[in-house]
Amino acid sequence: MFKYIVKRILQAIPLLFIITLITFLIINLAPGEPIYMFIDPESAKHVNIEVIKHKYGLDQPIHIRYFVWLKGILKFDFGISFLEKRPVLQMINQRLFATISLMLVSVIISFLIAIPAGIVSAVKRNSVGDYLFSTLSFIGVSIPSFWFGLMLILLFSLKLGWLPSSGMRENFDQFDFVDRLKHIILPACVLAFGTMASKMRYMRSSMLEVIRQDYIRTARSKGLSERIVIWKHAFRNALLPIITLLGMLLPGIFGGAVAVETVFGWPGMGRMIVQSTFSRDYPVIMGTELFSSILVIIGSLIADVLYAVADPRIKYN
Amino acid sequence: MAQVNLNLQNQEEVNIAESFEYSDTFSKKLKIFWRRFRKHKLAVVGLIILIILYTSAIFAPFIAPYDPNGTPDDLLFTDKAPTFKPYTDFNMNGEEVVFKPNYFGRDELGRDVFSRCLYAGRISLTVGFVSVGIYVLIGIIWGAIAGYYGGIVDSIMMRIVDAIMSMPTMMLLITILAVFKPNLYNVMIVIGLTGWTGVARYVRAEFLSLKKRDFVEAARCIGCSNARIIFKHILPNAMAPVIVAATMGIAGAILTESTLSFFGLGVQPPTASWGNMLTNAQELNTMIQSPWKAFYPGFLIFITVLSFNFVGDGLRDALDPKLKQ
Amino acid sequence: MKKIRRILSFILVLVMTFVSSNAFMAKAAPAKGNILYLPTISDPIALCPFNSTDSASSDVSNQIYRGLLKPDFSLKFVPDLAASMPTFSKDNLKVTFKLKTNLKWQDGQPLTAEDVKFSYDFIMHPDSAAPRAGDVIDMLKSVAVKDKYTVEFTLNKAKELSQVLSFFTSRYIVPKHLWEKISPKDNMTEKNPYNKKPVGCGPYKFVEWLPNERVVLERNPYYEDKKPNIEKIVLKNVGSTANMMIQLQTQEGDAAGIPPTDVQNMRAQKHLNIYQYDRFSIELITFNTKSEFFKDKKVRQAINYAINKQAIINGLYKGIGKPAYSMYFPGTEYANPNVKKYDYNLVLAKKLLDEAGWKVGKDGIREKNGKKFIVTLCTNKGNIIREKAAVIVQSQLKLAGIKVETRVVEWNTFITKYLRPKKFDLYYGGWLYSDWVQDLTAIYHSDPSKGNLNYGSFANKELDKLMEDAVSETNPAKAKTMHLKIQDILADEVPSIYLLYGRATLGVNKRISNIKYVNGLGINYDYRGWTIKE
Repeated sequence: MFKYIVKRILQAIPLLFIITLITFLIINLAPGEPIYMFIDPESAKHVNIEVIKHKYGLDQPIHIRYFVWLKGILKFDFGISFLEKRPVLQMINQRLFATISLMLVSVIISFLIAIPAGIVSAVKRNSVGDYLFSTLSFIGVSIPSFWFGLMLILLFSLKLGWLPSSGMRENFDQFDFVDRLKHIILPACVLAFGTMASKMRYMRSSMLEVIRQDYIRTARSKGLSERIVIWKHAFRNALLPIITLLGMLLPGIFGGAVAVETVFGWPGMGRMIVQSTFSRDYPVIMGTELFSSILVIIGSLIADVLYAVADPRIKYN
Repeated sequence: MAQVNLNLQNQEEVNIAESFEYSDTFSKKLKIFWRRFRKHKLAVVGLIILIILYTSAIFAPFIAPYDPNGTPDDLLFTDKAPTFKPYTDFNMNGEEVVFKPNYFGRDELGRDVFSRCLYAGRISLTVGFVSVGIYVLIGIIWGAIAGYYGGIVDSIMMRIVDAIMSMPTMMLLITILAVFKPNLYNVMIVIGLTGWTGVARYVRAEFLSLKKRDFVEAARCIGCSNARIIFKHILPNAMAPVIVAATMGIAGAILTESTLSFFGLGVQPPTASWGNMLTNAQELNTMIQSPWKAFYPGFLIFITVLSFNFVGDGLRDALDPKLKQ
Repeated sequence: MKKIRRILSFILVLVMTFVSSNAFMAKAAPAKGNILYLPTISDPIALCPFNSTDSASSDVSNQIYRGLLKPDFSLKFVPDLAASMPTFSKDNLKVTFKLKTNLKWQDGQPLTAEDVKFSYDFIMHPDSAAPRAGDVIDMLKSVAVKDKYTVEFTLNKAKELSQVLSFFTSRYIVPKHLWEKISPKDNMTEKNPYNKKPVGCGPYKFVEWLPNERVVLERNPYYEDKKPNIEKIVLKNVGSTANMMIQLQTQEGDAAGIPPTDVQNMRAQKHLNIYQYDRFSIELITFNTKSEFFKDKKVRQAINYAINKQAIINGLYKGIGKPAYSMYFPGTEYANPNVKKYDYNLVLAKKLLDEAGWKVGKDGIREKNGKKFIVTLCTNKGNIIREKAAVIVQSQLKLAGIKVETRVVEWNTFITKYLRPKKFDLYYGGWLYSDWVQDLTAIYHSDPSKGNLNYGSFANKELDKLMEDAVSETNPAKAKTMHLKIQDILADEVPSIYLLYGRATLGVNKRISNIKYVNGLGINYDYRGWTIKE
């Protein structure tokens, strides 16, 4: 197992290298000079642009800039925001908790709903419930999440007044669970609704697969009740592959968070990347994209390891 | 969300290509396919809806009662709730004119929402098709090469696929479109360039299993070139999951364009797309006082994406070898 | 199956109890306490008036810092840090200020003439690269401390009184005892902590700034003037205008600017007071006078007639705003009420275009010497109203036989790729001023070193001289004649089409009273009088 983890980590290194290259290239091939982030182009009259370019290393050729940046990354120095003049890592750190908590809650919500729904649809194949769940899940992936989010705000914040429309908390003095919960419910549900479909479909087909297996047939023929067959034998085995699904879904959840955080004014990384993109705050864009890719890779690594732990049939070496 | 859709088929469809016997004639395959597809009621409904949508988009100039961008003679500069009867009002020049009905109402510039939706449909449906076309093409070539040659070529190519797959797509799209100009072509190209990884994976998987098969060996023995084997012999048999992925990919691409429009990075006004028409929904006033401006484009996106997903699901069932006829 | 049902119903019950429990049924908590909640769209960039140019930053830093003078609700300049209005030397080159003697920084240290000299020297230091340094370098030659509370400024050039007074309203005074530890070259870097945690002398002092969440200010105990009634100001970043409006409606937010489209809706809210006032802002379309289409002033005049400004105001601004005729704001000192007005007149527009040699072609588009009248109209992204107005202009000019292609470009690209290299025919933009004093040199001077914002390359020698003279004329009557003349030339030459003067709408919760505002300045960043009744 240890060997396997080491191997996976080693495999991640070239991945990360490619990712840094891609992000760096996209941003540095872009037209428009980042230098005008330091100075309002309208009042640039008195400022010596060459001096500032030199100060931020923007007068160097592109490959030198890449290696300077990469060297920084290796020392956990993600650079300094052009716009806010804060270290990028500090900016990410300030928003990391918000983003991760939003994702975790949404993943939990989606599993809580998708797993039972998937099982019901598999066990009662082609029943009304099956149709209902699969239609609902298709509706989930077919609604633009920002639109759905706005609708929920209108309903729950404006009309009913039950939940706050934006932000992460009201109580800034201490960690107030109910306060946090009230703020997180709407964005997490919107995020969950979008990815629920794939989880549900996956659970359904995984369950169908298991039910066809011989040992289930054996269990049934032993005269065990359907409940025990489903929950004791089938459920646990069907649940396993869904763990790996989590790893695959992470980039999508991160991407979805960009829109959801913007709609709900959530103080997370998604909103930061939108803002920094529009202001061409290159160090922040590169830092955030690299950082979220690292999180995704760690996420799928954890998922694979969990899978290995949970399934004794699989041996890694 | 496109990625999510693609991932989900990953495991189920590895063996789909085997569902048909290689000796079957095309028309026989089609017959079997159609018989299976028909069983999926929702997919059939989706297909009908899509046919209607595409027809009306193609014939938009004949159907639309107004110019989608408004002409000076019919602009009112105020929004107007949907009407189904002709009415008289003052136009921009202060002349009293009889107007044709506005089935979906007028937007805040007084443009006819129905006509705009029709023309926007052309754009949105094109975005879906072209961007998926781009990524299917890249994906097939990439996956075919990686799968067919294997070894070090495969590992390097698949590492790149893995790298792109671990980058949050929406962040990537926003960055690229913000630094390059967002316009119709760039939107299609960028969605295409970021979406191909899923297709590449299926195609590679198919190739890995197909290249060991007898008929490939046979082709190689009679001296076929690599390119010929890839494109003539293996590829046609690896197309099933690609077709399903592409169908659902179109749904994803339309949705992605609307999300990009939400950030102002989709197709740019005054060219209408369903996505950028929906951005009106960001104004609270629209939601409360004139919901029709945002409802119809939103509904059209929803129904199109839903139909594509249903059709994709139907295709999957129809091409699935595990379900016996 | 039973078990599944049981689990499902358990989840359902759980959700229901949460939803119906008191914590959730309570309406989203309305703002309370002696705290002013202001929803905002974006975070500040730097909380220092000379290091930032965005409005989110100035909204906060204007509460924290002060200038020597300030504009007042009576639309006059009055002393702020200064004890009295400044005195001028005979040649008008030296300006002397006496400071109040009881001033203190928010950390309790006294504020003296040394701080004033230090601040201006710091801004003018070539390494400080302060975004606002340009104005200061243009105006000042040097600053000298005369005694502890007296400071003397030497100007580069004598200037008209209101220009000088307006200059000294900038809130540029920072504490020397803290800032002297910062090397000017670190000013715009992370090594300057006061861009994030400012220490000033304004009515409010900085408490905390949580990125993308909120900025908190609290009453400054050392403020020597009448202290504000409201104890704390919380600026909540809610991310979008729609959320701002929702915050006003749910009473989570106390006050916010309302976009024109939402005004009617917000008027219907019983808990809100709605205030409307003119702003010193103007929307305009500028011609590229080097473009072959707009070299001829007749064409420019024709287009001015062809654009129906009132239709834009009615359609997009919901009637909130006034058609503009001049860069000078109506009712202010130097505004010319008799300036030539271009009211909508399509017939005249067509006639002028015909006279200029642009004849209507077969396809309805005008042409001259085989060249079609097809022009591009650029505007910057992010201002939805501007993007829509561009569409209206497009359809209005179509009536006159001119085809317009619109380009909506992101700000940075807009300036560096379109405006600077003059790659546009028409551009739609706007100006927002902090007071009523006008100096158009930067916008219309033909010498690029003076007219750095003259993107339309407008050149008129008479106007150049008038603009330079008007701002340095110290005799008010003479200055006025010149300013009136400037407006006449601009109206005749039409380098830009003035569309409308801005008018703002502010919604304030009824729990807050005593809101002061004035046309032009609005609430003037002055929350001191505002009172919250519990």
